Amino acid sequence: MKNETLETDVLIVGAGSAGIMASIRAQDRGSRVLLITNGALGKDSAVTWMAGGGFQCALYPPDSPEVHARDTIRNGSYINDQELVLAILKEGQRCITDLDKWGERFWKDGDRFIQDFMPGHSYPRCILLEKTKSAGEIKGYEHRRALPHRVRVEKIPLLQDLMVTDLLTADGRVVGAIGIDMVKGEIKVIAAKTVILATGGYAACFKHYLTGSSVIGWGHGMAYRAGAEFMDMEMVDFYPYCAVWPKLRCVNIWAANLRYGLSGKFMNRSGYEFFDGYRKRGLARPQSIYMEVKADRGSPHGGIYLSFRHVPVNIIDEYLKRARTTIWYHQMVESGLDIRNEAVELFPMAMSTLGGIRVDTGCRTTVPGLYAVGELISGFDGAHTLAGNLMISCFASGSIAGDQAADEAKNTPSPRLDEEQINSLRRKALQPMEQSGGIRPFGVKTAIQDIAWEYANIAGRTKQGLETASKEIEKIKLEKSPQVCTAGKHKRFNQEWVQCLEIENMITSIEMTILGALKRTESRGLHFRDDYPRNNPDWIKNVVIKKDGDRMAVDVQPVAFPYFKPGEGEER
Amino acid sequence: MSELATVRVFRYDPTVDKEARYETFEHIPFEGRSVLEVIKLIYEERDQTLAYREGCMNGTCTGCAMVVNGEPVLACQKLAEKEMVVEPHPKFEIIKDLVIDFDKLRG
Repeated sequence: MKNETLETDVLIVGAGSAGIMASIRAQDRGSRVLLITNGALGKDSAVTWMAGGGFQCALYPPDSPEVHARDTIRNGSYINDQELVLAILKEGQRCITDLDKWGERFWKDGDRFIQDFMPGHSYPRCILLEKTKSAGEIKGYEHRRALPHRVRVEKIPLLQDLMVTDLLTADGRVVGAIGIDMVKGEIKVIAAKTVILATGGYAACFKHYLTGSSVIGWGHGMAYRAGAEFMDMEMVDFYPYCAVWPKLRCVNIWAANLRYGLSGKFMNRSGYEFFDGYRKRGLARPQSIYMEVKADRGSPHGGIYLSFRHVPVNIIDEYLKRARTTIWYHQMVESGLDIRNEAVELFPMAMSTLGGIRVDTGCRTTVPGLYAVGELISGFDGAHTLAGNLMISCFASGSIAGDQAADEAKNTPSPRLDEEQINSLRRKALQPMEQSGGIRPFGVKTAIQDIAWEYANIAGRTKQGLETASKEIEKIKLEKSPQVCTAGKHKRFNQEWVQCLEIENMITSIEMTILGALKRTESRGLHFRDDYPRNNPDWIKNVVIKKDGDRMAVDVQPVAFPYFKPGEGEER
Repeated sequence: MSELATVRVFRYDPTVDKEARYETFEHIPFEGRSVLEVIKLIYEERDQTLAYREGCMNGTCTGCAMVVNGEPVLACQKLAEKEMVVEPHPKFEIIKDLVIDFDKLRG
């Protein structure tokens, strides 16, 4: 079958903060670009639109990208790629300046940005919004207001409702992508000189997660099949303050507003404030909550308590009066919760993924022609995200990759596509539509999420558990995955078709997480092994994974320390 | 036994259908669920040809903007009711069923 092919210089897959920034930079640099989102621009499930208040950038002396980098690397337990950290943080300033120009309403005094302090940072460097002036604010709304608009203003060529399913390669180079045009219900082929993946993380591979449900590692799966190297996939961040009771429809992190707004206290079922003991052992809050609940000291709904009984009632009432305009306030009232007398129950949920595709300081992956940006990259956070660092790394990595991919495209001839490969990938994408009488995708996805939750959570990982997880995933891969198919065979906007294709990517992402967690026989940052509870200085290393034929090859590699050696700069 | 809802859903594929119709789904569990959760349930268990946008499920992305019992809402934030008529947002062109094209205003 002849494939109708679109052509561009730089193809950007994913239209969150990193993808949009990359597309703007590449077009500014004179490239023909094409930006793709799997939904409607600004209304897709990009995590950017849900971003919280953390937005760190070193702007004024004595603060500097170098000091910010030191904070980031210390917090990341020294397994960060130091050159990459510095490159990204140096690019941050340019991004903030542009976002300000593009209409994000930051809080400023004249030309000077006003910045607030967040934990783990040497200086106050969190950018704030004019309207709320608080590090606890939701910045996603502001990004959603400014960025899609900028795409329109800059007339960035855009394809919406297009689900990219695989990368095209020829002679060892990425030369484009293939995907499903949801509106037309047909396969689209795009040839590109360079491709930037900006598809986000894979938090939705876990049973409980904060992101949209399509954040399952599409880019991870595609890049893996194209031969890219991955690093530290065992590092997954869980947000500690997610309400398990009462359950509201709005963001699961609604209770965090209460926690920050009213200085709530965390306690176990005996009313004991348990965090301190865990903190002294170097454990993060989500890990502490997990362990407290597993030790059978939790709440009826499987969480710990957030209580406000120590706060005088008039203070609570004043706070709630100010919160009246929020969605969560109304849903909380509707649920019947009275925080003056009752505690909220919390448990951590998967939020973001720190590991990912290995990139150099230009955000190039190990596969020629392929770049990765945003949550998809590894090496920036190390073993633990420094508060508020995720957004700046998304904007700045997008910014870097946009420039680099455009420059590379200038010196790259138009690609020659491999028609045989395209036909084979087309058949693969159509397979769940053509097969009948198999298994529907929903239950298979749930099974994968259950395994990830049970065995690869924020704590409680063990050799035995991870090996069980590995076997169970393998079983799904061999027995269920090939049989997955849609019930309906209509092609226009058939979400079940896309969900069938998600499964392969979910399996790849979680397999890498399990493999990385098995390999790292120590506890570091957000990776906690019950059978290796100590941080081991010999393990300041990266776990590197790549495809080797049908097998997942894993390697442990040393980390370079060009700027900060472990133990240095611990004076604080 | 808990109560069950009757949901009338707007159906229209402009590439195939001459005109829109409403399809009624009965005996749908709804208590404590959002409208979007109810639609998802209908989609997964009753009718996989139903098209809708899921978006972030968090009340922030606005991708699930639709009309429920005559009122424009974010379906992920609106509490489901026992009797519901669910329609696409009237301002935009319909791609299919509840999926709208946010770039094209309805003429």
